[in-house]
Formats: sequence, C-alpha cells, structure tokens
Amino acid sequence: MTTAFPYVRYACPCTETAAPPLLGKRSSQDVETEQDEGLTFNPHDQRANFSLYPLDQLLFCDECNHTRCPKCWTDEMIYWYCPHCQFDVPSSSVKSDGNSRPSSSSTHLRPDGGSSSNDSYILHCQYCDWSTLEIDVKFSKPSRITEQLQKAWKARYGAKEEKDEEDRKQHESPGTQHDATFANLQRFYKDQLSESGDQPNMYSNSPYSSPANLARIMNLYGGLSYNALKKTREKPQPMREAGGLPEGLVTYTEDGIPGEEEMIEKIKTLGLEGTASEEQRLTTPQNYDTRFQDELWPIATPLRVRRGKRCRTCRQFLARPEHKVGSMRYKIRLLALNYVQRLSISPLQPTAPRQNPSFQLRPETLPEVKVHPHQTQQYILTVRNPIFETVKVTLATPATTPGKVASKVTILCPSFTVGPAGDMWDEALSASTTSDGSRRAAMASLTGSSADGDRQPEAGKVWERSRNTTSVILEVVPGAVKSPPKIVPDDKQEEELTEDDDILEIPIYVRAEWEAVPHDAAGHADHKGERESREFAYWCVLGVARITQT
Amino acid sequence: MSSRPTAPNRRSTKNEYIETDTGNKISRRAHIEGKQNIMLGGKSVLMAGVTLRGDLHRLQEQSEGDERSKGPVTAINIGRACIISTNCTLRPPMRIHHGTMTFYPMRMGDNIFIGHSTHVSSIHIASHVHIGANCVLGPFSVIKDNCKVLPNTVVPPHMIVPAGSVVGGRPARILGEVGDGWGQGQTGGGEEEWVEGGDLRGVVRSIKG
Amino acid sequence: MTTRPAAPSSRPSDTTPRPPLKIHSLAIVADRAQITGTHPITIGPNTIIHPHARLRAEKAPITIGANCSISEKALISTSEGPQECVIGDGVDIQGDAVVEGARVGDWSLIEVGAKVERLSAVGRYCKVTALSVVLPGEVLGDFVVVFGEGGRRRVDGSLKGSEEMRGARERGQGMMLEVLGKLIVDGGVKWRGT
Repeated sequence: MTTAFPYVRYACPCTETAAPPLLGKRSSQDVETEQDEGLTFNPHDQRANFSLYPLDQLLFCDECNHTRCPKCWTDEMIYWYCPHCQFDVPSSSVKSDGNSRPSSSSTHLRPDGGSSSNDSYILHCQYCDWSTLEIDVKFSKPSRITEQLQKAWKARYGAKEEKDEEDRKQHESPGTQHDATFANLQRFYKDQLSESGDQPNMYSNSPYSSPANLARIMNLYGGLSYNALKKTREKPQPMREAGGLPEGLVTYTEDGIPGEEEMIEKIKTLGLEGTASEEQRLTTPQNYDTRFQDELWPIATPLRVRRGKRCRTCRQFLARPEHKVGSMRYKIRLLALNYVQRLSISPLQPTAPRQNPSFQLRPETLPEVKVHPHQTQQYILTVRNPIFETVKVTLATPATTPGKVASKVTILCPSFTVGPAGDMWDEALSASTTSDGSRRAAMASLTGSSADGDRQPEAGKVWERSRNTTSVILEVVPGAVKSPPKIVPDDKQEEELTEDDDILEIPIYVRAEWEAVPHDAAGHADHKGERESREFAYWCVLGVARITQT
Repeated sequence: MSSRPTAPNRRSTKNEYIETDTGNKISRRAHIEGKQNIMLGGKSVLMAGVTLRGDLHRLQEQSEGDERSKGPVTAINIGRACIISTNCTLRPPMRIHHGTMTFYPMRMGDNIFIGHSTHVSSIHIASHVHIGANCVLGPFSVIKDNCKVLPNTVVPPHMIVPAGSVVGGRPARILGEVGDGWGQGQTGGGEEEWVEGGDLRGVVRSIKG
Repeated sequence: MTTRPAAPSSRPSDTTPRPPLKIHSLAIVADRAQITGTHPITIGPNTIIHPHARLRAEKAPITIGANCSISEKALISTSEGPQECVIGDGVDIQGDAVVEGARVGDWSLIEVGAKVERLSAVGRYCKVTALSVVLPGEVLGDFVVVFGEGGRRRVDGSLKGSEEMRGARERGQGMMLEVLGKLIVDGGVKWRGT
C-alpha cells in the first residue's frame, strides 16, 4: 500500500524510554543520557520505520498520560470464534480440543452434497475446484467433518503405525508416529523439570525463590533420612535435551527413505508446483511428511481470536471489545485520536485538488507530489485539538532536516493555543463569537476587500484559527538530492542515496500543555476548582513530498 | 427505484446525476436493469458505468389469474450513504434451491464504499465496509461489519468474512484486523478528513454532477 | 421496459454498422446487448446474451455455441487480429471477462474479469477463475483450472475423474439458462431483422 503525500506519523514515546539508561563504567565518567529535547528524531533512520504510526493506529493510556503503540500494549484474548460460522467457542474447550473448530472445515472448502444415490458428501473448494474426490474421501453426513476426516486419515495412514512398531529403529518416519513421539517428548520434559532446576516464582516474596526450592533446602538440612542425605550428595542436574527416540527425539537419517526413487521421478513430471510448500506442510502434523500437493490432507479451520488491548505498564484496558461475536462495539476504547492533537499539512497554494487515495472513485493514477530543490515551499500546518480544554502547543523542529538530504525548515509561529473541542451545539450557538475563515471571507467579499489569496504569511502570527483548530505556516526549502561534486573527492560524501531518502520528511517535536480538572479516586471531578497543569510531548514526522533530482 | 426523480436542475440541462427526493444520486450513465426491483436507502451514490442487474430476481410463483398482482420483488437492497464507484457491477447470486435455480436478493447495509470496477455478487454486505477497487466478491459471499477488502481481491463464493477483518488476495484470505479506530476520526471537514469506515455522507455530498 | 432517461451517446449499435447475425431462434439476445463489427456472428440455440454484453467481430467472425451465457459487460472480440473467436457449447462467460480471438472449449467457465488473450485455446470443462489471465498463444488442455495470484494452473481431478461432477456442471448450466430465459427479454426485431 502506498501512502500518499502528505502524511503525518507519530512516534510513540516508548522508543525513547525503552532503552536502559547509559551507565558509565566509572562514577567519574560523564555519560550523556538521552534527553527528549536533546536528540532529534531522524525519520530516515532505519529504526524510525518501526516507531512511526499514523494517529489512528495508536491508543492512549490516560493513567500514564501516554500514547500506546502496538509495541507497548499487550493483547488479551476476549473470545475465540470460528470465522466461518461465527460461533464462539468457550475458552475451556479451546484449551482442551486445541485451536480448531471440531466440526467445520477450511475456509474455502464446503461440504457439497453429491447428487449420487448413496447420498455421500465431499468437501469442495469454491475457488479452485479441488475436492476430496481427488484424495478419494467421501463423507456420510455434512456435519462433524473433522471427525470424519480424522477417521479417514487413520484408516488410510494410521495402520502403518501398528505395523512399524518393531521396525521403529530402522524406519524412522516421524509422521506416522507423531503422536507417540510427542507423548514421549512431553513426558521427558516433565521429568526433567521436576528433577532439575526450579523456575523462580516471581509472585512470592520468599528469599528462597520457590516453594520447591524451600522444600529442597529444608530437606537438605532438616532431614536425616537416607533419601535426604542422598540428595545432599547429588547435585541437581542441569536440564538436558532429549537423546533418542524413547525420549521423543527423532533424527534425520541418511539412510534411504523408502520410495525416494519414485519421488524423484514424480518431481520430474510434476515440477516444483506439484510439491507441497513449507507453509502447507507445517499446517498440521498429518502434513509434515507430505512431499507433494496431491498428498496433502485438508485441515479444520483454525479459530480466530478477538483481542483486547491493555497498557503494558499500568494494566489498564485501552480497548475492550464487547463479548458478543460479530459485534464491533467496544466497552472501553481509548483512542489516541481523542486525546492527542492531530496535525495535518497542506500546501499554501495548492496546485491540484487533493484526492483521498482511499476513496478513488475513478481508475486514474494519483498525481505524484513532488517538490524541487531550492524552491521555497509554504505549507499550512493545522493542529486540531480533540480534548475539551484549550491547549497551548509549542512546536520545535531542527533548522535542517536530519538525513542525507538537508532541507531547511522554518515554523513561522512556533507557539500558539488551540481552542477546545466542543459539541455541535457549541459550534452552532457560538458562531457569532468565533471568527473562522469562511465568515471572514464572506465579509471580505461583501466589502470588496482583497481576497484571501493575497494574504502574506507573517512570522509570529497564526494563519487561521477556528473553534478547535489553529493553522500556522511552515516554510520549507528542500535540499538537493545529490550533493554537488567536489573538486577534491571525499569518500564520505560518496554514500549512495538509499530508497526513500529523497522524501522530504520533517520531524517536529510537539509539546501540548493544558489544564485539566483532576479527578479524585472516585472519578468525580474535583469541584474545588483546582486545575492541574498537564503536558504531553511527542515527536511527529510530516511526510511532505518527494524531492526531484534537479 | 423507491423514490421519484426530481425536476432537473436549472443550472445545466444535463447533469451527471439524477437526484431523487431521498437524496440518492444516480448517474445518467449507469446501466440499471429492472429498476423497480432496486431499493436505495437515502443519500447513496451510483456513479457512471455502474451496472445493477435488478432484472435477476426471484421468480414468484404465479397464482392463477393474477400474474403480476404481487408487488415488485426486490433484487437489490442498498442502505444509506453507500457509494458505488464507477464501472461496478452488482448482480444478485443464484443457486439451486429445492431443485430449482433461483436468484436471491442482495442486501447491503449503510456507509459502504465500493471501489471502482468491482464486481459484487454477495448476498449480504454489512455496514461500514470499505471495498477496494477491482475486487470480485463471489456469489453468496458475506461481508460482515467494519471489514476492509483490499483492492484486487477475489472473494470466493460462499466465503464469510468475519466482522472487523482485512481480507485480500486471490483467493481472499483474512490478513488481519481493522484497527480499533476504524471509522473514527472523521471530522466532516474537507476531502482529507474522510476516513475509511466512517460516515460517508460527507463524501456523498462532495460528489458533484 | 424501463423509463429512465436514455444516455444516447453510449449505444454503438445504433450508429456503428451491424454485422451479419445468424442467431438461432431459441437464443435470447437482450435488447441492450452491444453487437458491433463487420464479420458474421453466429449464436447457437438456447444461448443467452445479457444486456450490456459486447460482441465485436471487427476482424474475424465470432461463433458462439449452444447453451452459452455471455454476461453483462463481457467482451468477445476479434479486434486485434484475424483470429476467429470460437466459443463452444455450454460456456459461461461472466461479467467483464475478455475473450479476444481465442477458442473456448465446451462447458468451460470464464469467471469475472478473466482475460483469454489472442491465439490461446481453452479446453473443455476448464475454469479460468476471476481476474486470471490466459496468456497469448497458451493452450490449456481439458479440465484445467487457472487460479491463484501467480497464475497457477492445475488439472482438476474431480471433474476429470467423475462423470457425475461433469453432469452436475452441465445440469447447472442448463438450469441457469432456463431461469435467465424467463427473466431476460429477447431483443426481437432489433437483432433478427424483420
């Protein structure tokens, strides 16, 4: 998906605090700690790609007063459901039966009643017309397909398991003995865990780190029985890995796999498309062994999960959907859109009407937004305030953009206020008091004064102000994409411009300050009139345009 | 249609769109068959080149005597503030039911955006769905609430797309979920403010003709 | 008929020359189908040409067999070269499909938006899924399914192996044509002359 210019991305502050503070080796060593203001956000940095998000993808934790990005929230399972029949599956049966719907089938396969006389059913793909006739499987009834599939598989391949019991050591074919091997491995690990180390229990405050440890130490020093003395001599074994087939380890042997010659012949005719891909083989243990597509076995639909999001630090729910399957309503939804000021940028003199790329009504290609180096461009930067308080916004940006292409950026008015968001009624009723651009334009046209187009941007003044938005002017002089050749070749300047380095991206540090009425523990607003000052600061990146070569 | 066209606009003799009294905008270049079987909720837009096969409807059992005494049988039912972009096709799906092949009515919810050149045969599309350009939604597919269908997707027949999913590819697979902010963040401002899954009345208003 | 205002500019069949048509008496060609060109077009019995389907026999004749269905906005054309377009019996060509100078075998299915390019040949009982492309000059055998994003082709074992499945497809096509015959009105005099 290509993002259209201009775009605005927000950096979640979690990227700055995540790194542990730099500690000097000696107390006398002076180490610069990262400060928010000190370090400029470089949008061209390779790591920046992973910390920048559009505002609609961010949530906001109002306890921590912090935006939360996908890296700093945790998912919580609300319910499991089948994507096909929209039934939700109780979590107890998910944990016991595993993550698949016992009686449904893969998304594109549908039980198809054959019109044959013996009323048998097949699974038939609606897209590519594959059906279970190709693997010679028919079903007696259209429900409980997974069970019938399991039976059919055991009937066909499971018989091999019993036959090979004696030949196990020679013919190590994992697929047919998967369940037995898995049981062995599970048992082995359980034994190892109980024999050797104990996991420290993070919830207990005991200095002995776990009740098992405590019991062990008490046994060491408390008991005088034979067993206790024996244990004092034996050191706890470190956990080891499985060593052979009885412990659940299956190794690949160089000995010829039976039927290898036929497989090679088959590849010659079928080609690479006829083989099963890694993805297809790993779907289910029944398919681990299959080499060709015509050996693959259909699987039951995996269930999908509806997730809620919790803040990692304070464990508060940031987004909690309703428990009903298929309902897209939320019990709790704290979107950053409702707490964080929204920036947007548009050219002062638009050359072409802006089109929204998601709402392309006709099959035309969107015009590319390009700017030329060394030509001053002016943009209107609009800040929209979603909260119900007046916010004082301070913007800061480095004079030249970081990265390989240095463009000069000037914000004509770096500090201003933005009004509170109100209801629709506030807007209608107070239309006379606020002056927005449309009214001014109407007055201007009535009095015949000069149109808006002649207005010159002035330093220190806001461009436009409306109820909850304020616009200021941003002046940008894009830098040259290729540095001019130097007479004395300098190796450092020979860096190749990598992809996307010619995009004009402006990092802006936004600090918003407002006064909020603090809520006491019961959630009621404090009526005493105390207003505490709150602030929230973050980096923003404005993607403006691509800089042309010349 | 369910509403009558108003008198033509005085500004120009040939507008692109006929506007009905419920606010629907239907392009003069749309190809609509069987318009009496098509119901539009208010404020929806059918752009140029859109083909609606309202003539493919369920055949009523003909009672003796009165052949057409029963009212028009709905073939396509579209909700409010839907936008069907240029060159789309909406064709009711058909299948064998009790031994006969019948067409089933298509039912669409509100605030659905369908990108250009897509071919829709779904039996049901729920509200606040955003469908990209050049898609094919196979017969009897069901798209539930708040979904996003990426451009160039082929949804095979009978597929049910669960609520809040993002589907794409050929055949369509569920690639992810829409964000928690789906449809939010629209402030009713200019064109830049339109948000996928949001209220499409602003977009409808801006489509001029 | 509908009473919506006409869009006179988009009716090429009014202004461009009509090709010599040989339409079977049992076929149904909708009034609003668009048939243009100079070469003869033959349409077999029971075939239905939906409204807004486009047949362009500009450089070579088009032959459509019996029991076919050409959906709205499908394009059967011979405008790029002198290759004849021959469509067999029982073929279902769905909306927005493009068949350009190619042969399509009996009982095949060309889905929405598929493209069958020049000089190619699609076998019998094939299926070209939506938005897929049969490359120019490509010859598909019988029972081939063209699908997937990378343009995969595979041989459909179910249809190949089962007489029953083939019968099901043929019967399905027949039932569809029966219902469509009741819903779509033939263009009558427009296409058949007097």
